Amino acid sequence: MKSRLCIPIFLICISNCYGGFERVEGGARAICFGGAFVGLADDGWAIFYNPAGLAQLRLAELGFFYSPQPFGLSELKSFSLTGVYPTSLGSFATSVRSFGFSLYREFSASLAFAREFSGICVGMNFNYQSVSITNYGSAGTIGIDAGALVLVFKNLRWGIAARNINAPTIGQSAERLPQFFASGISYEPMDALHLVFDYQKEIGFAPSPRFGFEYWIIDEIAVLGGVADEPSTYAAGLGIRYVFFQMNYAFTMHQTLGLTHQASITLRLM
Amino acid sequence: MTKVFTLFITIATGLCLHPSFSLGQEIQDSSARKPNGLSAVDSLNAPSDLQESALRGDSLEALVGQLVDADELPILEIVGEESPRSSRTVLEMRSRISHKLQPARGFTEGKYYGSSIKSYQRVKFSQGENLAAAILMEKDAGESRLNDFLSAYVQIKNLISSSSIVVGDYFIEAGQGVGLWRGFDYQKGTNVVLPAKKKGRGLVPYASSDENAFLRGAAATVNISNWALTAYYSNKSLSATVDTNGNVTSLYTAGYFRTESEREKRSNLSERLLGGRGEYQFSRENTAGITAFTAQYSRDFSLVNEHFAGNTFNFASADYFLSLSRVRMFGEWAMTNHVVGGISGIHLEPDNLIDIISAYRNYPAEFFNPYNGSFSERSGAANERGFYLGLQIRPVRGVRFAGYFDQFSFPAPSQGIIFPGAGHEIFLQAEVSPARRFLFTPRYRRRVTSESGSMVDQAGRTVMFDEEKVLESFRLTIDYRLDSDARLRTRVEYVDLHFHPAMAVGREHGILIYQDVAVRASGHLTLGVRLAIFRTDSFESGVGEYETDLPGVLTIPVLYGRGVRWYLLANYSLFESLRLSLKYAELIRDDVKTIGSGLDELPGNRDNRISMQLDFTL
Repeated sequence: MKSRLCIPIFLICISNCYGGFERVEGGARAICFGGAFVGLADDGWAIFYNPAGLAQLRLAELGFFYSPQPFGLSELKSFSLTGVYPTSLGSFATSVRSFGFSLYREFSASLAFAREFSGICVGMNFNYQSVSITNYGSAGTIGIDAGALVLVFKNLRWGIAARNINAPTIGQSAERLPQFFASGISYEPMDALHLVFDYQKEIGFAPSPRFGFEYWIIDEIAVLGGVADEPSTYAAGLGIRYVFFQMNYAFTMHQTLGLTHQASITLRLM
Repeated sequence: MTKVFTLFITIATGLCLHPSFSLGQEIQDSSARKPNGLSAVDSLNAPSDLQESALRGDSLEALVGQLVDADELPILEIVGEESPRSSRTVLEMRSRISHKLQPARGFTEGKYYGSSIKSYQRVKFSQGENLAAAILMEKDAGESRLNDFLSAYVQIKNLISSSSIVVGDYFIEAGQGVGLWRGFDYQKGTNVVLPAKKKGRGLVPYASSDENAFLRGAAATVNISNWALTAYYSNKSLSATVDTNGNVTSLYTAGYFRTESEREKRSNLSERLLGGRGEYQFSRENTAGITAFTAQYSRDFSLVNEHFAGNTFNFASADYFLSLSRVRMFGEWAMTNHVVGGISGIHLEPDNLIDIISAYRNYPAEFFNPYNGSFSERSGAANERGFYLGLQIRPVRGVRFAGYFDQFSFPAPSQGIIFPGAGHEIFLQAEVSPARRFLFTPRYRRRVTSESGSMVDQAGRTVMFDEEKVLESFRLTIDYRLDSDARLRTRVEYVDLHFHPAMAVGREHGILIYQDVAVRASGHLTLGVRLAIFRTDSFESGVGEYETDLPGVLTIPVLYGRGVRWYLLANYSLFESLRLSLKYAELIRDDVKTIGSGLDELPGNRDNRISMQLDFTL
């Protein structure tokens, strides 16, 4: 009962700012980085962070992400699916995402394309986003995301990304969807170690610096960790991979809202 | 066998003048600092000075806890990690006195019983590897006896098999310090590993000037096969504030007994502590241990700040330190006062140039233990939960980067904190040495905490508030080595403090600029001078100034208000075994007519202190 009372308050807080779609994140691995994935973007979950990173993929991927009880509230659960198919023209990708519960649900489906031009990866993502609220109806809109990624040095990548650059609005009251801009780097001092740093800015909010790492202790097992400010968040988790299969688990500790568990599975098709 | 790690800290003349020292080397050597175990600070009597600063209300760092900032290690000289005892007989004597030239109100009004001289006298004796002894007499300004605080020990090693016996004063470093640790440690800073990951040395004899953080009685460690078994007994007098019922409301740990009221607290509480520790060493880097003790007091506790009552508490913990390839896992979890708390962490060393460390700590509000020294945001390690992530890396030659993020919360209200609190801290520092003679060290620190309190509004109503306090600090240090005998250091630090929402203060700023000059004037004489200029809106926006001092002393005044501080430090080696050190320091405040408050108030806006020390080794 307590959690059900909390939900409307939480949603009202969000609605006061934007017309939903605030917590758009996928892939437990990227979450382990504290969300600092713009400068790395080297798996299918790049579609949520920096679509340009999809051009780095050489194998087709399928991914599934599930977060059953963010902050202990099952009403905030989300899941998403991604699929990436690299071709000689570039990488094509798609994703679907669901967030919420029976009274309030967000759904999005996206199509993305990314290609490398002279060492610079660029990508775009067309994202249909809809929200349905019981007794209030539903509405949808299309947002456009874009990004670029460049290999600055052999072990240093730099990426930039923007979400909803077309400033979409939703519903009869034309509420704006949140716009994000981010710049990030990833540094690979050795094969088994990734260090990532992002600086993200959401319009209307303070900038959010983020940092994360991934260290493959052995070929099959990695430990990951990350932090973010604004809001203050700590993340950590594990990665397990074997041939074409990879699984990641992440937990995040939000300074105010508390603990969240999430997991993702990625299949790489030979 | 218990390993004895020793950190010799020599503060020469404001800057280290070790002959082999160079700025480039300084960066390269940072990996050498990576602990094979944590360095001890035997010879550093920092707690006393930190305590003193805290009591004067002029050290923010000290208020956080009795901690030594690894930030300043570049100006400290780490000679070695293990001290092989000479087979010969060694006698070391250290005599130090210091004096404030301006008499505080406590002296002029006759409230302080003793003279204004502060005295520290210590003799250490060792014969071969198996016998050591020390005695320390200390007197603070205003105290009447030279031996106002007396500390001593005798240590005998290898009397029975591989063993160590200490009679007198000692402390025990166990596990991650949740149960027993020395009284002070590194605070969060440039070295991101040292504060969070501990490797205890076990039984350590004690003769230093902190009047609280030690045990007094007898202890013995016996090494049998892979086991190190320690038994300890302590019977010590403490000082406390007691209420009308004779119950202890707070422990008095300042160590000052200058006035009638301070003397009334002296030794009005006794503590009997009995315990043991067993540590099993699977291999060189893999250990597991258990620690248990019981402490009984002569009075009942009714502490205001801690959730503890009664006159007895029992403590039991299990700790581990495991090493798997380049992964270290460490932790200690304990039960005391009917609650469970502790710390666990993981330290990754992908190669010798990179350290990544993460730790989780959870200390319930009822987690009472005065001998706790584990990693925490606040001293005492109670009522705290936190996550810590640190990274230090040398990506290319001549560049070192360090940073950490610490998220913490204080779930239960306590004295002065009406609401549960929370906060986080971000620290970033780079050391860049573009040329052998130069070292640039920019640093950024952001600390967000919540503070609660109450105020009376315009209608006369009492309003409780909980506000966010953000302290940002920007610092740039430039080191320049003129030649092997002369160094310069320039530092600029800017502090920006703001509250959200602005209930009471709004926004404050502070700035500190200082210049160090250190020269080796001759083969025997080294000189150091510092001039610091500061201007801050208040004490809250004050800037901590790590000062070099006489060997074995670390002083961290927080400069606030408007003014100047300068000092001259000289070291003169008469012979190889005899060294004379002298420091003269002056603080001049432009914004006040008197410095300090209460009985410590000085008659004018100047604070001058002269200190001398003689070190003699035979």
